[in-house]
Amino acid sequence: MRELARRALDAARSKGAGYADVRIARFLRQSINTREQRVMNISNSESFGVGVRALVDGTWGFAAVSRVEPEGVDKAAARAVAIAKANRVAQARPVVLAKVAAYKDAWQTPVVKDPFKIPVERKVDLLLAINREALKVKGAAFCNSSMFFVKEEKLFASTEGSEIEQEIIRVLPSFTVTAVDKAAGKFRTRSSLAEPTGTGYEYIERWPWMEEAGKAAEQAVAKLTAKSVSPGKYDLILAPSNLWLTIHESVGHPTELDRALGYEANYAGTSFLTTEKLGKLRFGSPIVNFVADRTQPEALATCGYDDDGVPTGEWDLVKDGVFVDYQTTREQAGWIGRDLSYGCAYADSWSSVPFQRMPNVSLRRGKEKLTLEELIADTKQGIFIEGNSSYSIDQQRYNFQFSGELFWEIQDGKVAGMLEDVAYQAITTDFWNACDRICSEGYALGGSFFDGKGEPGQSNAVSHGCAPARFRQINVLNTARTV
Amino acid sequence: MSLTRDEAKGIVEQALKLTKAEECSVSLSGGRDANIRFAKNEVTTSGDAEDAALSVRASFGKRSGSASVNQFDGAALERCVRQAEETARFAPEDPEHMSVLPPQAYREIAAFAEEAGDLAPERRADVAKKAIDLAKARKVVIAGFFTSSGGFQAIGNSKSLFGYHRQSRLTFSATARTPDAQGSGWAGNNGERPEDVDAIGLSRAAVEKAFLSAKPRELAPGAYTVILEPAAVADLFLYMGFSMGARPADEGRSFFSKKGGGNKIGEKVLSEKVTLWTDPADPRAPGAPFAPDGQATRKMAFVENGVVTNLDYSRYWAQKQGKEPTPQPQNIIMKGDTGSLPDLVKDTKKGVLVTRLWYIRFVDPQTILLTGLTRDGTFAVENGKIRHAVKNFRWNDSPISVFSKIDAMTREVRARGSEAEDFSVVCPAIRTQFTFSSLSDAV
Repeated sequence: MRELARRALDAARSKGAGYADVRIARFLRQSINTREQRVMNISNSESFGVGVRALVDGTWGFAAVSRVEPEGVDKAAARAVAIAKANRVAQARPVVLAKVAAYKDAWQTPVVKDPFKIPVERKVDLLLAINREALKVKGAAFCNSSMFFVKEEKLFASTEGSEIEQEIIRVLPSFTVTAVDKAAGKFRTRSSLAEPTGTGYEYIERWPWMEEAGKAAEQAVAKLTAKSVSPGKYDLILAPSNLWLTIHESVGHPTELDRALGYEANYAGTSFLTTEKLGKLRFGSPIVNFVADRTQPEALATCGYDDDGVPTGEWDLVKDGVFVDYQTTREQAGWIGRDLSYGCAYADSWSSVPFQRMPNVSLRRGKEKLTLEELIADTKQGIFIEGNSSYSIDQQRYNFQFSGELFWEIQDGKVAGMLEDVAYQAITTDFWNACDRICSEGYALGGSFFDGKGEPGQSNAVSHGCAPARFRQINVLNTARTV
Repeated sequence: MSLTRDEAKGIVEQALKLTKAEECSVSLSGGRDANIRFAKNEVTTSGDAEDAALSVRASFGKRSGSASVNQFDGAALERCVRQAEETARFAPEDPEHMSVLPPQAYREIAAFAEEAGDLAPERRADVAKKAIDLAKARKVVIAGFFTSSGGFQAIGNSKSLFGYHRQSRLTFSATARTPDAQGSGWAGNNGERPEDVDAIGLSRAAVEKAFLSAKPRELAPGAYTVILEPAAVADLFLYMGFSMGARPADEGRSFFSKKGGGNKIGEKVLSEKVTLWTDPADPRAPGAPFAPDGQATRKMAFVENGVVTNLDYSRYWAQKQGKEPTPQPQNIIMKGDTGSLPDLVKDTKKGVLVTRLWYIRFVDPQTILLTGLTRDGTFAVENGKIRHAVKNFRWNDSPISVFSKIDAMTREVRARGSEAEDFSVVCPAIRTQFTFSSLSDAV
């Protein structure tokens, strides 16, 4: 493979590329889907190919082919250079890449058990056992469960001398129980609170599936008759299983530098965090600190090097409530006067062009010693929300609306019962400035396997860590409707 | 990687010969996708990718397994087939297993333009440059995306079924923003042939909307008479379509479930102005003559004059319920009326004109309640004229409610939604009632 990679770089250079990089990658995926006592599908896929990126006079070209052989890499290199040359007519400012050292290295997700080596029967048995356990509960009508595994094996090489091999593994287990009241024409679901992770099969072995399946089924049934929320302002306590998605949408995306500068205007949108606000804008209350990293153990965006060949690290995005930094790639670092990239380039396939994707973005734990139980006890009237379901935010990341899986009414410091039909809506900076307490205990990671961005659309896997936190007087909607 | 009918058939037959399974179905698809992106009035990234993938589903009795690979040498094909077989041997019996179909009659559908799959990079760069030049001349900032692709799909199985289809696709979209970032306009569309997509006309429309949408005024959230442009209608149809499975309806977990049991086929749930069908051979949005499971695709109505006439039946569920199965729809077509968007605006005394919707997600599947936002051109209409831009809104509403309250619409046209960007939709602009729930500062 290394010889083919070098051949691609030589071919790009000989055609006129000032810089080129190549990724030869194999993506393995396995998915198993079940419902009740039936296996709906077991599938394995393998995708192998080579992608070459070339810079000619400061203009990018990219081409990829699935034939990983001398003729194929020559074709990809020649096409990448031809595209770069053709596109020069529409380039205003030449691309300048931030400096990076040449690395010859290897990195792999530190897994205990490679999920691709676990027998399919074991996985099927577990999924069917989850469904069986859930359906023991009276009123639980259906249960779907699934596992999805990804392994990326990739070799990156550049004309600057790097040759980096990586093996990245991610797992995504899930189930959903549905309770149906046919007479009333009503149904409710409750999905697992398990998260996708950058681990091996050991995560699946340590999650308490049977306990959660029974509880989830009881809660799905209870949702059918739970009290419908009265709309208004509430103090919200958000569990990590809910808050990670709010962090993702309202902190992760607006701190992407390409969005802030208008490079995603035609699709995902821009950002309210424009560059003149850097170091000045009070994003949240003084206890709010967001850190970006691609190094956190078990997180989905964690890797050794990004797809620019930059070693990964950790940096602050929001410090003591103030917006202080962005996510960057080699191309972007110079846009805000930085010498080095934060290593946020990623391509979701050998056939996709690398561009800026979100690292793990996490809310630091609170400094005061505080548990979830103490936080609930400290809340007079509010709602405690676990899990996530509906989510939506505007194209500049001001106005968002989120829902959840489980809503618990808090009255006088105690959980008073279940609520339904809850969604919370806020403006990003109002919401984070309303954060008055963050627990020191109960930090957990949540994440997305399929975060979409770019044209053509690419999918990124990313985690967000946080502990339970409280937000004062947030607008809550009632989502029940009659149509 | 584009393969001819004979080349594709050769690989399909080679895979079928290798299998020791009692039944086997194979699908093979691929092509060449090329694109150019631009933003801030210059080119950004671009790409050209060639690929093809073979999927094999092997069955022993009622046990099945699947595998796919994108390499076609003998060893790779054998590995793929064996992996599918091995998975099948370990899989539990599927009580809903359906045997593969015998050969079907597939019609030829013209959906391929040779040029689209082999467009020179200079042609794409030229399109981007013309859009950028147009924006510079008007002193706005433009971002956009242009793709050209050509590909094929083939299916085959151990009962000698075989199908082959070629499809090309061009897409163009552009967002123009005023330099002060206070106005934003969008336009976009898809087609099968280069002449179907008027990139310059769309760029011009995006630029005009950017100017028109500058300096928006606030309207109070609430229920409004709204004109939804086709891009917005396409997205709402897509979300309603997601909810039209017959099985979830019969199982009591869908809007289309009937209280007490059964489903809403035969019930009037939308305005009598709504007639909705799919037709793979419609030249305005042509699709494949076969579905992935081998069924021949055909014209099928789902809603006629507001009455639900069909839901989506898989082969298994159709057999169990004594219905005809519905092959996967290749497009969605809604019958329109006469007249254009300007005619509809002219006919509107007071309302809000919405260019497109954004970040649409389910809030409650029970009522198909969705939330999302308006984007890139939201305007107040008074006495038949666009009076001024209004601030974008977040909305919470159901397509069932929106499509129940239609009182006027235009002729139907090819449309490209924000969420349904790659799905082929033909629909009109509609005038209806819509509920905005809060304001957004986003431009």
